[in-house]
Amino acid sequence: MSTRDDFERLSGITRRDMLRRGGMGLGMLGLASVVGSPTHAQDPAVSATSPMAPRPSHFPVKAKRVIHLFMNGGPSHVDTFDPKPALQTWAGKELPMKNLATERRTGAAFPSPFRFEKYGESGIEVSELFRHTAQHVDKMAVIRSMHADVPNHEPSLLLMNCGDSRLVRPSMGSWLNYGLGTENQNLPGFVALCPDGFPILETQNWQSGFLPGVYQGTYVNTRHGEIEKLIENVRNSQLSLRQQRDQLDLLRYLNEGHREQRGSDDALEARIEGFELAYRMQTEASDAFDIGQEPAEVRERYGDSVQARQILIARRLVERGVRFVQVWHGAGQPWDHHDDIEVGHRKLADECDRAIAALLQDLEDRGLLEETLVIWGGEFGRTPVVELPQAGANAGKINGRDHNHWGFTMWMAGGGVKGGTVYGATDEFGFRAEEKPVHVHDLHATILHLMGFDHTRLTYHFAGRDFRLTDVHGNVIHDIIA
Amino acid sequence: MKLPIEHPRLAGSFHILLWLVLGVGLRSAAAQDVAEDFFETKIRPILLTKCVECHGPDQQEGGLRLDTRAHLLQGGGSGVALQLENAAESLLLKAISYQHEELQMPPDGPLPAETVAALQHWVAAGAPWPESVVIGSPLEARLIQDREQHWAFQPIQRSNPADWTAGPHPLDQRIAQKLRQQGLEANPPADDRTLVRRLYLTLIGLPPTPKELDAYLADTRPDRWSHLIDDLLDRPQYGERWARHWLDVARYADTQGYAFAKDRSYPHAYTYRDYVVRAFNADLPYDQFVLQQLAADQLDLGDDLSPLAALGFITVGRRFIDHNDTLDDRIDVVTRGLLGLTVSCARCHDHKYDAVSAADYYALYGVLASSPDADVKPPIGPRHEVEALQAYEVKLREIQGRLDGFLDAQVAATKQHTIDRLPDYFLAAHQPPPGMDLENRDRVPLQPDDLRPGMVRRWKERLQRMARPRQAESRWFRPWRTLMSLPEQDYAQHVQSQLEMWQSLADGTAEAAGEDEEVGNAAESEHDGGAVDAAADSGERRPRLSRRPIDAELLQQLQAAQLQSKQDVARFFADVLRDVWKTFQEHGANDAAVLKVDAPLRFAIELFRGDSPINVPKSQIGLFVSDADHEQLNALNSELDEHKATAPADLPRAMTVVERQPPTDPYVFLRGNPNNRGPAVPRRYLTLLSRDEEPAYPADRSGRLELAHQIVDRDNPLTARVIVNRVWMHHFGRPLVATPSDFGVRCDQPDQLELLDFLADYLQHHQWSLKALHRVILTSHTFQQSSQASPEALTADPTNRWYARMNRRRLEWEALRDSLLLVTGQLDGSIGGPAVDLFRSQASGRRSLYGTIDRQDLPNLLRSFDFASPDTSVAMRPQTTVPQQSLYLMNGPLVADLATKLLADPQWQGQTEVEAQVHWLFQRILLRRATGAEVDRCLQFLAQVEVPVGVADDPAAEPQVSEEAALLQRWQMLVQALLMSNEFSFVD
Repeated sequence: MSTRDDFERLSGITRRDMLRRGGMGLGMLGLASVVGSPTHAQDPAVSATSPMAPRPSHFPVKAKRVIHLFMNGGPSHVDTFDPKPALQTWAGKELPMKNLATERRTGAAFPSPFRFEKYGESGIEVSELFRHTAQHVDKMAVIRSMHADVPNHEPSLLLMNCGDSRLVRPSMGSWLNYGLGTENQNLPGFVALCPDGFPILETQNWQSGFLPGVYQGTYVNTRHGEIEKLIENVRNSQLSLRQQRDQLDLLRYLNEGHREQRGSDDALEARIEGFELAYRMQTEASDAFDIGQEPAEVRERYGDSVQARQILIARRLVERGVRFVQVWHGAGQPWDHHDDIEVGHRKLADECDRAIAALLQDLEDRGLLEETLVIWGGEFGRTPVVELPQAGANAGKINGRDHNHWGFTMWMAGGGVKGGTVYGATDEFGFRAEEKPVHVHDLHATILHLMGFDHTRLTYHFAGRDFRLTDVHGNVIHDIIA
Repeated sequence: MKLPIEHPRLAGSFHILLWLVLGVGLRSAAAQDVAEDFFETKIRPILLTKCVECHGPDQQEGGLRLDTRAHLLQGGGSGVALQLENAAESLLLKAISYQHEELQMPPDGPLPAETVAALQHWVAAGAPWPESVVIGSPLEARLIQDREQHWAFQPIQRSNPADWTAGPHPLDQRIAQKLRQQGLEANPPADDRTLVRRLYLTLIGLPPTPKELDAYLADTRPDRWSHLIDDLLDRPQYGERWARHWLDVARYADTQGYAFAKDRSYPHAYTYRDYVVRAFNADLPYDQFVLQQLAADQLDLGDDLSPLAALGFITVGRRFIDHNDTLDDRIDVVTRGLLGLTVSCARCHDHKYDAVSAADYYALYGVLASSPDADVKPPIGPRHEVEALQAYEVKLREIQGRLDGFLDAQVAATKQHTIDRLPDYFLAAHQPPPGMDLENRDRVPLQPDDLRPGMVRRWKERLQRMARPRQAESRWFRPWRTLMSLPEQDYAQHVQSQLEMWQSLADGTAEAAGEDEEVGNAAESEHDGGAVDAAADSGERRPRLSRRPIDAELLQQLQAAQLQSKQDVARFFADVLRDVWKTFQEHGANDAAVLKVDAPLRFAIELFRGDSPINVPKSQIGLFVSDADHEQLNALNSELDEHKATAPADLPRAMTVVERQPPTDPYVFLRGNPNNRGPAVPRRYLTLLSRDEEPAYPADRSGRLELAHQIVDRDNPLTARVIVNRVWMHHFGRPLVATPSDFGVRCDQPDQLELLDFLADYLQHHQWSLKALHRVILTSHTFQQSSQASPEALTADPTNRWYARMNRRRLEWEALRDSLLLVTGQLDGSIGGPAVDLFRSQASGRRSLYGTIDRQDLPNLLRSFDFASPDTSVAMRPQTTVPQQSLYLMNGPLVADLATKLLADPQWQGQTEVEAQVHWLFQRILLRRATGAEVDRCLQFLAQVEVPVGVADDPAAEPQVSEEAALLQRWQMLVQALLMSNEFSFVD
């Protein structure tokens, strides 16, 4: 076992040392190569010059990339993927169980205003809200027994993203980039898409915590259509590419002369190469975000909302090898319908349902679904009972639902997931995860497993401790793995 | 518990003493002391580390326990362990000396002969075991073992100061010794240009100007190097450069982190940053620096109270929702930052590796929990100014308090008055009394019992709003409006007709008006029924009755109320509301009490406690009070204004902590859970670093001052080593101890321990002067040697473990940006002050140190340039090379703008030859002339002016620009290339 902070030991170690250490030492290979260690290894295995260089996982798997569709605010499971006919029976009455404590006061049973139907060969029931997505239900494992720790947005977002509801910890996307690097050096390895601003908690949702900053998610405001606004500094406003090539050739000449005088030095070489990568990235990134390059037929299938655009961008990014794409529904907490859930949920589902269906279809058609894990869900679900009026908390309309961390639904598709599966169940009313409960830590363990990692061994030594995404928790749900 | 820090040699002398004492069988008190010491230093460690894991509280292999004397004497399954009368025959001794046929302990191999001998003599002496001593946990075993064995906990090896000045440089001596052992040889010194640039960048974070370089080269003094070091250490830029290094450790930021709908900024954090700059510039001794950062509020600061800002070290971290997490961050910055110990690992359980217990953690938790942030951030500066300002503020708060109290009382009184007279207000809202002008929004004379026109107006608006169909309250207040709209004449009769109409609707004998009829017509919705039917004007005037059904229960109540007049109607509705409020109050006015009110009427609760006419905002209450009260209010306001006119000049403020009275006496939180209290622990220092029986901190103080003194104690083996290691790291790009904030047992002994100890000793000997430490490092040959590495040298020592050359380093973000600003003539050298936005606003020329650090939204740019995350104390920045860095330099606004600005320099424009222009730029940016080949390459680049400049690739879109403008743009591109070059970004 290493006796030093992974972070801190970087400068004092050669790449060869790193290779010998094996295990996650390999994870830091790229970094070591640019931290002023003047070795000039001839071994092709160590030719990587970037902390983002692709690396093998603990064990071989098919899943290589993740698209996380984050319905921030908390979509209601009893209105989407977890039908509860009993609510109809008790409509408007107090449930025969005591309402579980959530953020606010709640009242009588509130049956879903949406119609559920069976879909696919598996016959899994999905509500009309996601009737297009439901066409692909045979690709999904629907986990109906998710649960988290508290009924508040901030801690639940942190838990879902970073595996801890309070402290500064790296996000899942950062962990995966740390573990796997990324396959396309011309694009960031972890991209967070969100139109019009940040979700609640802002950049903390895609923080790298104590991992090097290079593993942090790159935020892209998908409200913009123009590439310059999507990625910082990706285009030069003064120079054409041809002029810039001239300039970089001059730079290269100066740098080569400098290096020749100094002998071999990885750090110098890495920085020379960095400019070439950047030059290529200008074109590559522009391509990736330009959905105008898609045929009209494709764009039509996704729809023309901003959701459709960003979900299509997500597909284009994973096609190009971006490791982790997180698609946020919108700034703040759009799915948080304390009032008017019927109107609100219908509106938001309409915005993304067709695009999600198109995404799953495209991934399958292109043979990418096996390699791409698609995750859908919020930071928690919503209560099966109505939220009561409370000044300052809601508009007193008595037609919304409160947060519910006791039980909610998430689904995953592709990436080695066993399709057409329902896993676990909430109680009769959808309040609490009762059968085979899956904590967020278990979900993380399972996701890491699908990506080829033993979640107990993907660690990072920092401040005297080995940290991991699942802390000291987490059990892999083998039943949903194909 | 008695756990002395023992030097091994000292323990050895005890050993000899014991032989003498026990040998002659003395039983005096002195002998007893010796025996106890022998037990503590020799026997207890053996039992702890070799025996109790299997023969202790957790496991009892063979039925034997060795954690108390009673257990030892009792023996185990194999029989009696000790025979005090016939020691040699004791089973225990046979087992540990591997003389027994079956029992051979410890099972993994015999103990060293010396240890066996110690045990034999101890048993022979009657196994003296101080009463009540229980050999404890494995942690305790580690404590003893680590204190004896781990390099970092051993005393700093002292050397003789006389040797430091005689002979070769003391630092080089130590390096040379290792080099010889490795068969390596130090590099020759670097050339002067390289050295000067290296020194400037390491000390002030800026390169020299060509003029400064020339001045050095022209200096003929033999000690010009030392002069240059002194010169740079005297510049204020030195403090700016080194403050930033410290701010990484102090996890400095200008915001507190995430705050929902609240201002997240730390407006005064900059005073801590400026304090650190000043401390470095003034060469504040490091021990004082630490003392002030932990306890400036408890030190005698004399006439300058500025050092109070030092407490920002504790307070500028991230704020968490759970205050325990905030305290954890503070424990972490104190212990990792100052001591190089990862104490926060012991929050949930004893530290997994180091001998730090959860009790130790909570002892420090108590210290920090007893030191909350000051509610009022104190001003800092000269004492007399601070005192004047504070006196002013005390008075200000006093007046403000009285004013607020008065306003609060008036708000409450107005509320009570309104509730008492609610029927009158309802009536007046419908029909203002004669002489009351609701349009007039100015103050009118008011006697205590007068209805307030403002309040009437508020109710009028509210009652109209409540009657609107979409409001929940409209169930009650549409009927109100209907009834109040009936004609005055024969009022009781009209009411009766309307009630009958409602009754018919309820019975189904009359047809209700459709929703459209009710809602669609604005006039209708404002006047449900009640309007006089114009068509029936010929005979008696009959009102048109509302045909909209009402709530059955309300109807019943109305029917029972015998409503004769509008006064009666107003009283009826006012009473309904007042009853709700009364019920709610009687049931405790909490969430449960809400349920005691009939559901349809719950809205009324919010009418009394929420946004309601009766709750007049403080800012408007002046319009609602009586004349007498208004006079008093005016007097208070005048007093406040007069006092404000005397305000002294404002001062910066410090983010201090204060002493909680009484201090918090901590408990261990089992598994870190505050709801799961373990044993109480006193506030005290870490056991690991404590001397014998070090007392707990005073009952009436947090212990911060005591802790600070213990941390900077000369005999503390960690503090000096930790800081000299950090300083070394910043000069050489690599620390001597690989984990600068973790000197615990998982940290291997450094290759250069002697050097580390020399530096630590040197620092302490020079009154903790960091400038003295810089001088001894920077005057060494080791620092001045060339960074060139031959292939042989790379093979022999690829990582430069032995310092046979200098490490080549890349400029970190701040030094890179500041250097770019300097060489292009755009650096704004002003020092200190509130943080500035370096990116979003107009390009700022301030040093990067002064850029706002928003820890919640750290710009991607800073992340991609490896800026230290302000979330936790950072020991060492990573150095990554990613395309985002290049993209910023190539395409971002900074470098291109600076390149343009440099070309505006008259000196450059004054060069007549193109070659001279090239040389001038090389001199300015790279501090050297261009080589012949470089000049040729640059000329070739400039001659390539074929593509008109400033356009996209699309030729159709090309505007024509002059040859001259195109050439200037070529120059600009050339300058940008020089600014982006490796030669500029790296320090040889």
